[in-house]
Amino acid sequence: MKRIKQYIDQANLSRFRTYFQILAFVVIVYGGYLGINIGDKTPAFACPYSPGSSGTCYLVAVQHGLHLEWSSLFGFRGLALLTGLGTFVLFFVVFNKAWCGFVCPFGTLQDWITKLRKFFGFRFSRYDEASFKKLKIIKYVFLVLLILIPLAMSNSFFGLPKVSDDMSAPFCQICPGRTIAPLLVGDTSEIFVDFTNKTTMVMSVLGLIFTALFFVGSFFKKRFFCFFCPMSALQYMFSKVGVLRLTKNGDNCTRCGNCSRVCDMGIASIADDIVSTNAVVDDCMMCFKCVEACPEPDCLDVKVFKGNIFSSTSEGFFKRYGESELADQSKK
Amino acid sequence: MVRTKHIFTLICLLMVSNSLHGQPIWLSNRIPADAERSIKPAGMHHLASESKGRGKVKIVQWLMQGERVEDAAYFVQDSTTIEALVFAPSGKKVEHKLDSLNQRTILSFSNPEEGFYNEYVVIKKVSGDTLYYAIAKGELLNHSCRNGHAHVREMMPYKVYPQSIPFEIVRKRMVHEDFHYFVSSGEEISYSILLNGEPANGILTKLSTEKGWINSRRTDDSGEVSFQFLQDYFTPWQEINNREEYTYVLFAKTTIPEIGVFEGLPYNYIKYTASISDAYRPAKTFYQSMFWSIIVLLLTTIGTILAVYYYRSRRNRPFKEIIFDEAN
Repeated sequence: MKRIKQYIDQANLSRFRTYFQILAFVVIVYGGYLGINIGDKTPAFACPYSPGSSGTCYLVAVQHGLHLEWSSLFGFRGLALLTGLGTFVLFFVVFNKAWCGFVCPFGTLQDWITKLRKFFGFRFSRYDEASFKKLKIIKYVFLVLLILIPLAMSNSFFGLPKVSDDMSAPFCQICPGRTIAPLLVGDTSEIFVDFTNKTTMVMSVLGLIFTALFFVGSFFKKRFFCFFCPMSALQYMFSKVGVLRLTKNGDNCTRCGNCSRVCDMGIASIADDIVSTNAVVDDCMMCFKCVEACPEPDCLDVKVFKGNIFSSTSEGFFKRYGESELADQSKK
Repeated sequence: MVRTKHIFTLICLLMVSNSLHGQPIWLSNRIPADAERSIKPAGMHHLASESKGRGKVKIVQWLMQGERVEDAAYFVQDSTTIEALVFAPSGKKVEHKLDSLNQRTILSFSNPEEGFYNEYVVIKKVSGDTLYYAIAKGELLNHSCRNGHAHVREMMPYKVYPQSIPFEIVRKRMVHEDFHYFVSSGEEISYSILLNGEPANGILTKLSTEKGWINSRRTDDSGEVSFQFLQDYFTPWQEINNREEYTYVLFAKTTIPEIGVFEGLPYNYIKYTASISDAYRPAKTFYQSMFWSIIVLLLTTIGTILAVYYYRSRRNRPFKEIIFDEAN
């Protein structure tokens, strides 16, 4: 067992992650054509607007499910909502936030765009600490709005008129997934500006702007869209009950900062926080690059319940990063 | 006076019998202006529904007669044998009610399941040596996005019931059709005419719309017929309603030699007339533009790239030495 653990700790998890991402991408984006159906409580972006999609992201169910009057919300329909949420949580807890890092097809797409940037030799961008703190709030704003707007369509808040039905599934209307997922199967039907009325015009234009920002932003900033993703915010609420965990032992940390430097999301607390044992924050996508880059034994651990399945080790660090350094030197 | 009364009765009888001979029947989802206030369009597909409280909803459909949809009359129930059949998406028969109310014939039933409900109203009458067999069909889709989309693909294929309904029309599904699909003006829609469950060729069909245009075709060798819906929505931009629905009905008729007895009356032929009613909406191309979407995408992409370039170039300003001239 010790040898197996040693082998795993020294393995190239990033390469495994790449293959896993490819598999998940094919299953989610094209699985519908193969009769695969993963349901409509998926904790990743499986877009139902795409004919090839094998599932539906849970945000769609939230938006449609909350299009209810108050009396129904506190009745059987409310119970159905809770059941849906329970199903989502059951799905989610298996992989925890690794749904973002390993499964989400739009995360995978952003990683491929990052590889393209590296190929062309462009420098990537990072947020400074002040911008990071301000911008991370946006995903919570999106989450709150996608909950409140459907409720406001069926109910009057503070005597105000109900929101128009044209705002149905408001996040789906602006989500880049809605335009990109059908494009991946050759369907251009979601690329449009809807001139029916001002509301539909604004929402469709916003959707297109976010689509363009998705591509350009992902080119210059790693995992650009994940920073603003309301699914990430929703997942974080249940992250503490996840089976898969990322823990940090602050006593073993030497504050080298490798973990923060390799983090695609630019999370500084993974390096700065030596007090908390739970290293997962709301922006974390559990790609475990930090564990791979940590040179200190058992400083960062990936756990399933209480059992370590992947730990940071000196041997693993030098095997993964030493090889690449030697390769770079030999190229020079 | 007596003669006039007899003539009047004869005309009424002729009108009733004419309702089967020349006036086909079809089911309408359009709520009459004087209907009960509790009947309202509900759900994504705007089915005429009556709420019975506690989440119980009944679908209500009106039986019409007449080939011209825009001025069809409500069917008034008389002594003619009339029956209704409603099948749930699972294929089970659904309890229904066929009422005569306010000079109208109304079919109502509950629809708790997700998927396509097949409703049929059948009128049979022997006249001369022919059994007139009229079938009005509606294929009503019950769907709420709240219930998810897990089984949509499985529920998409149409269902037929040849043992109960010997002659019927089915609308063939589009390639990527799902529960959010609506027939739109400008589209080509295909139908299959089935006689005893098998495709029937050479059947005369007629498409009639609420807007007044009518087209006739015969089915091909595979029992199929296609109609191109006209682009007939030309509303000013300020008045566009992308959820506006217009009723259309497809009729089909055929006569086959068959000997039998119905209600004690012998017949040598059966004349089938079938209809399927639905609604179509304005074409998306009327109010959606891909051209402008590409403009928005390009402008945003170019603008963002320029913004990033400008931001980075500001940070990369070359070093400029400041030289102090002590003399001045």
